[in-house]
Amino acid sequence: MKNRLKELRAEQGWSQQALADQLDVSRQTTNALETGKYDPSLPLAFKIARLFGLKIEDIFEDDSH
Amino acid sequence: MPSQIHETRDQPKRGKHSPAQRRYYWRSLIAMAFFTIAVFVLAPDVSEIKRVPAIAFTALTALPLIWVAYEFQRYVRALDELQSQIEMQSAAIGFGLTLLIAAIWGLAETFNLLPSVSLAMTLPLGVVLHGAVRQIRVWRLG
Repeated sequence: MKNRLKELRAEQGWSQQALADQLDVSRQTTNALETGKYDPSLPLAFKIARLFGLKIEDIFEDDSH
Repeated sequence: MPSQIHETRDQPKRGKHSPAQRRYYWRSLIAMAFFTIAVFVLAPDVSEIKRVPAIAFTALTALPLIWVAYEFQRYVRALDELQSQIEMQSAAIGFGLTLLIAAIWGLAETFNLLPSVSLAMTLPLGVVLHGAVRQIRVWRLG
């Protein structure tokens, strides 16, 4: 699944650790999300969306179709 | 335990262990050291003892293993979703491989191809394989 997490984080000027702290996950998880190596659970996806004030589909894109 | 979870997920620098990881690694190491001493150092001397002390010795030797299991579930609960997924999948693969190796070894033992090995060694082997699989998964995530 593609996502705009890295771009949105850069817009805010946050480090991966700062984003991880706000999402209550590890930096390793933030990195895996950004690089598309891990797809978040629905609760975490909602948390990310709320943090950036966007809808989930504005951040994550299903590239399987 | 929100404060514990927050503390655990705080990983200040790349490559450093979180407090929960450090706690789990140290306590597991201590428990496995007790277990190893009990099995390899004390067990040969007490192999001739009577039934009741033998049962007590077995129960005492099992305590470090139960402690490791308790610490592992505590550790996994303190992780975030990706980290706990990595731990659980690594544990499943590691202990699955252990069962496979134990079954094949058991067959070979039946036909006198390999020497007899204590079943008590399956858990330490599982812990080692679990750790190896975890490291591979973490390395692949980058």
